[in-house]
Amino acid sequence: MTMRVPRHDKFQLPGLGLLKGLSVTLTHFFKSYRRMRNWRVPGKVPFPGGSYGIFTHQYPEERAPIPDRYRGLPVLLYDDATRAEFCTACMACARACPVGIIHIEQGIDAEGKKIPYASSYTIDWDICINCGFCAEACNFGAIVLDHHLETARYDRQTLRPTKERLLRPASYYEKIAPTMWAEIREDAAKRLAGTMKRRPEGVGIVPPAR
Amino acid sequence: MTAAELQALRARLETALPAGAIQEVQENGAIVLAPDALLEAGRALRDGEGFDYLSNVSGVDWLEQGYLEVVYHLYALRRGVRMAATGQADGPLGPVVLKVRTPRANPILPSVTALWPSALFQEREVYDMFGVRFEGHPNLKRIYLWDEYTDYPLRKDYVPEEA
Amino acid sequence: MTTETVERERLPGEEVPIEVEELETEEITVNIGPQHPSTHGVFRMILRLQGETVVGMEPVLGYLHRCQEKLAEGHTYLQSIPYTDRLDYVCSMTNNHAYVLAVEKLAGIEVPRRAECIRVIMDELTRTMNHALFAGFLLNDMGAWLTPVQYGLREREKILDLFELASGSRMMCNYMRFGGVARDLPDDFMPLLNKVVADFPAFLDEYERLLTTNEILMSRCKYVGILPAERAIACGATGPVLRASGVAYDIRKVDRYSLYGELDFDVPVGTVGDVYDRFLQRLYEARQSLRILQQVIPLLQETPPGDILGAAPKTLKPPAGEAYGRIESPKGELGFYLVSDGSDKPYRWRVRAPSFVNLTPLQEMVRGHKVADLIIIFGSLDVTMAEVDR
Repeated sequence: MTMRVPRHDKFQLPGLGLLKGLSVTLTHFFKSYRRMRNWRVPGKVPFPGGSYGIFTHQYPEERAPIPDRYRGLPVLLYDDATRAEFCTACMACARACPVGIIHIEQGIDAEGKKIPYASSYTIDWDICINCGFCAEACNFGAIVLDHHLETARYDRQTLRPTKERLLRPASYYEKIAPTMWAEIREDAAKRLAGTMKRRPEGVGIVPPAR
Repeated sequence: MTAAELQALRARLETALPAGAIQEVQENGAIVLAPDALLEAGRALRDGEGFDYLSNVSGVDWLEQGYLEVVYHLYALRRGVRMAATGQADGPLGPVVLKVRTPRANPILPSVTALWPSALFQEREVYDMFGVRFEGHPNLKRIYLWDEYTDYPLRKDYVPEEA
Repeated sequence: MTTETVERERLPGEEVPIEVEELETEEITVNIGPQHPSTHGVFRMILRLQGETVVGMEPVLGYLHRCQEKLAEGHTYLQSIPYTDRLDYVCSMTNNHAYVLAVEKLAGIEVPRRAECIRVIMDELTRTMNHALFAGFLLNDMGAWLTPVQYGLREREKILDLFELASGSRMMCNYMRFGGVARDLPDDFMPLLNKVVADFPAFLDEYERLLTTNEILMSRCKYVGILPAERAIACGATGPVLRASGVAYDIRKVDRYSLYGELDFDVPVGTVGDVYDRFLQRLYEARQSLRILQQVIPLLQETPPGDILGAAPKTLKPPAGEAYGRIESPKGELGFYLVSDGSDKPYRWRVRAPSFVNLTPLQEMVRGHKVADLIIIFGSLDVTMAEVDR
């Protein structure tokens, strides 16, 4: 069905439209004195009192909660218990990346055979478009997207992190994105068991923090 | 558009156009026209069949086969409006896909802007990206790249300049 | 080779005599340069003016050209989805939808019902958000600065929150996949969606109360930039621009893609085709979008959770062929023409951008008007230059 858009061509008192508009803004002026603090706080009903009022977050003391699925910059995970990296250098993330910013070299053992371990892993964070395809492609739960918001740096080199700066414990990811971790946790643990069998002793273990 | 409707449309077009105008009909229903017959076929489709809306003009570079192809997608807009209002379509709604081919060495095609002005900017884009010159276009200049640029980027043998 | 003389459609920009005031002045050429607050991106217009009256206008495009079509030929079909987000950056969900629709046509992939419901929800939320934002920016072009913009943006923030919950990103959603959507909706999505759908009509009422009977708006917009219906169809205008000119062509009603065949909604149509009609038509369309959302939410709840992705191979290699998939995006007809040669990368990846073709009648709409009218006529077309230039 089609409906004709009304054109308001009837005569109206000059100035009436302006007054109607001003009445809207005046209503907002008075309503703004009712502060609305419960916007986007977990556990609270969203937008109580309607959509009027002041909701200035006193950043950085108050931060808006970030949803689990938020796509920040990619980071690598390692298992807390065994401190083993999940990454097996299967290159799925490097192939999936639309901008080609993931650079991986696969590790080789003493005989020259390839092992499921990335001897070198670099990401160009400054080119990353935060699409999340690397995390979707990874079958091992190794690469996930962190919840970065403040990504500005003074030095461009710090935006090309190597594996040491990319590694995060899985407990960190569980804290920031519990539902996402719950989806990949079991598979990641199972595959890690298989991966560690195929790695030589001591390879792929993250040294304890100093 | 069903295959039967397309068949009937093609039959009507064949009688309306001179012999040799329709070079080929592809399996997906696209009609390949000879470049000389493009305007006449367009006229027959627009006035006779009611395809008054040219939706898309797109260029394709078939490097191996040696020609540049321009693909037109036509829809019957007024008929679509009537169909949405009454629920019954009084004829084919589209899309009718027309293709014309021109050799890569010297690509010239007639412009359809006289029939459907919606091709105005889209033909300029095909000229800019592929190098196909449209005769009869009122303002055939490059549209995205600057006027002094000499290469045609969307061709398959385009080599980007070294940075 | 010769072209026959056929009865010609009058082309936009052709020299048709127009009235100018009695005081004949020297014709000057003025450039409304690419960077300008009212150009909705980077759009350059070279105007020929007689005094303040526009006598001729030539658009210069290409300042935001990123050669997406060439890039897509080097990427797989899946890798191009984030690039479609960046075509019309305000409406990334509908861009995704148009692209995956075209690929699904090309490769013959089925979409489960729950995924279709989610897609319709995302599309209509995008449409609502885009039209609210458009109204704000049209008023900005008129000189009301940022007050109406902030009303529109405030409501848009709620819809962006919904997108962030579902896809992980506010604007560059990258949410749709071949055969469905990337992930199912999270648990906190539905309460928020219900609240937005319940509250938005009140916001639209408030927006209308603020704007539509305002004397300044009415005197600036009525009978300015008239686009007659025949010219709109001939110039290929689609979407709200076409419907405001009186032609009730809505691709959701004609093609009936996704779930739109089952849904009941009206198509608002304008009478005169001026800026006022284009402005109001979008607000009424936003109301219809909310009506659609109210119908789809129960349909979504009937479907089994989790069934959101049809069977599509991990590396998609469509059979050799071509497909043209189009949807009704908030700006008009957004279509993707894909040609496949059987490999995992497309042979030709073409975007039929609505804003690009909607710009065609701009030259003739502005002749005879003043420069200030030119700005709002251009604003009323609701163009996003990223889509025009790709």
